[in-house]
Amino acid sequence: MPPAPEGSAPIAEDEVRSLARLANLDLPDAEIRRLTGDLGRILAYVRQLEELDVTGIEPTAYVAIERAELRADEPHESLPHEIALREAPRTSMDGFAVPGFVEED
Amino acid sequence: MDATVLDRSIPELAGLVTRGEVSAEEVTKACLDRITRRDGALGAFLTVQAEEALQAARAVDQKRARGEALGPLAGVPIGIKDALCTRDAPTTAGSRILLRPSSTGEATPDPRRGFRPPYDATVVARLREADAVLVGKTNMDEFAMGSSNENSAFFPAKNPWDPSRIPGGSSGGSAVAVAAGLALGALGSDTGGSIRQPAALTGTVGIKPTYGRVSRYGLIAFASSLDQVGPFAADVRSAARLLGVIAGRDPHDQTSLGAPVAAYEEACGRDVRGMRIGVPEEYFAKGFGAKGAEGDPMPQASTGIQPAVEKSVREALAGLASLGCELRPVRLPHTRYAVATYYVLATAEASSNLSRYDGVRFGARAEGAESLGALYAKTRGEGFGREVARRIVLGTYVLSSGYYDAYYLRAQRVRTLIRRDFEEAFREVDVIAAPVSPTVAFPLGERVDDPLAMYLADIYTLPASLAGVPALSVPCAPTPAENGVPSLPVGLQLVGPPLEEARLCALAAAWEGISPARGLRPKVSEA
Repeated sequence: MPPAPEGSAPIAEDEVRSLARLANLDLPDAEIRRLTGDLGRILAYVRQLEELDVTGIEPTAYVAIERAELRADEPHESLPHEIALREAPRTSMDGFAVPGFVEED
Repeated sequence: MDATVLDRSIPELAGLVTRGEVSAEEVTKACLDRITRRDGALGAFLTVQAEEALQAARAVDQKRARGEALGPLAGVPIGIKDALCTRDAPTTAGSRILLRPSSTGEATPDPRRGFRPPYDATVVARLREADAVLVGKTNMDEFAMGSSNENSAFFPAKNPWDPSRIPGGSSGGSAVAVAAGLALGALGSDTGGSIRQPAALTGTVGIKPTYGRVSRYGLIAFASSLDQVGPFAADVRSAARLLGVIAGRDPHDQTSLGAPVAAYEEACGRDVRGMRIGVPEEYFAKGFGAKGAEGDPMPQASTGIQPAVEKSVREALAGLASLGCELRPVRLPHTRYAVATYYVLATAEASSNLSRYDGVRFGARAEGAESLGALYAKTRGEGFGREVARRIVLGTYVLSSGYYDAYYLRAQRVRTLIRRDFEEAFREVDVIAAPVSPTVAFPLGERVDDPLAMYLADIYTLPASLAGVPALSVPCAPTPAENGVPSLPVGLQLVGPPLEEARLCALAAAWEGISPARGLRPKVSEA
């Protein structure tokens, strides 16, 4: 899908609903409507990036001031099991408890 | 002991404690007492660790009694932004989603139920090793997303210069704690201006170091290619001392830099004559960075810099010239695209970083979900505030198939152009001087329904973040009181080439020595 042509609504409500689903966000309809308006205004503003010719310009993913060294590949101590589980809202059989998911689509 | 000891600089107070002229315990008690009397009206702290602070203070005093050398922050009360992990002390990132489930089902979320990290952030551990006393966790916009502190899931922090106004954000609580004398220093994090903007709006000094200068291990991630931890303090030397303690390589953070840590504090007082200062004139143009959609009313904040702010910043530039610096115009032509670039890149990274909050391993968990997918979606839908949800959805959009090239990749290329603007400017000048915020602190509630207007508050701070270069805010003359609006702080932003924090400290300290804002403190009411 190419970006919507200039002048059209930048984003539709259904699109926002499916994005919220992709992002695992269960939002009420009123919030989806509000979000659609907000995102539309933000995307209309962001479209000014299209004014620039960026052909041949390398992307910057992050700013590397110096070459990062890899650390030695050695085993280190990790969090003890009980500490890792300490903050879990629910535990079961010495692990994190979740609803059943094997039969999910 | 007189409580005004809390109004000393960090080097002075650490000196008093080291020489035994005051005890760390007395200082800590005075500080906790001030927090009790002043913070109810300000909301700087989400949680206060009184017992732990007193214990740490006593340990400092005992260390001294044993004749051991004390660290550079001996007995100095420090606030920690709640985005930084503190071992066994509540850490919320300003969000409900990091609260443990409540057994009592109380109506208002309580930050004391925050996630208890199993480890300290490296910067927190370094403060402890330097004998600082950590008094509490400071208020913030949820997951550091915001410029007003109104996105805190708990309560907004308020500006001590006028509590009907915002203190800036996202590190608003840290700025308020320092401005109101509730701590001598504080740590914040700056992704797009979250240290510099609140520092400017509260009349404090805030430093965003070079990307990678300070470890982010234990900083709750927002946008990993931009996040950087830095200090707040009431004066430049104090901030420089804090930076010296927290800076440096950390094996736990792959992006942290191995370059030697410079002598920031010693740089304060260095002669700045002959320093070449670049002034980006386009920053003062009407409507800089604003471009509303066709037919859309221009966002309220986009009409450019407020005249009183411009006047104060220009006076500071004249002040730098009077110190023997040479002012030169520079051009940063792509920085007007910084807001658009930032809100594509930062939201993309946030949508990925925040996927870890799923109701399974820590924090909140929605009740009644029957499938794993429903558990995730319900927990996140209930747990995240509106601005965070907005950014996650925007980030998901710009990363989605079909839009990736048009938004995300394009924004990364524009980021390169913004970096090059700085590289070219720094061939001609040593430091760039600019405003921090186009406006003074605005009234609470003024922009909560207009996210774009809120984003434009960051127009002057985003470019240095995208370029990864160091920048700080130092107070210049406050605006005059008029039309019922009180006198409010204004910041001068100084931006340097990578790893030139010491140069910025030198210039900021020289300016501070002649600034009309020197020594100004808000009058804070006490309960």
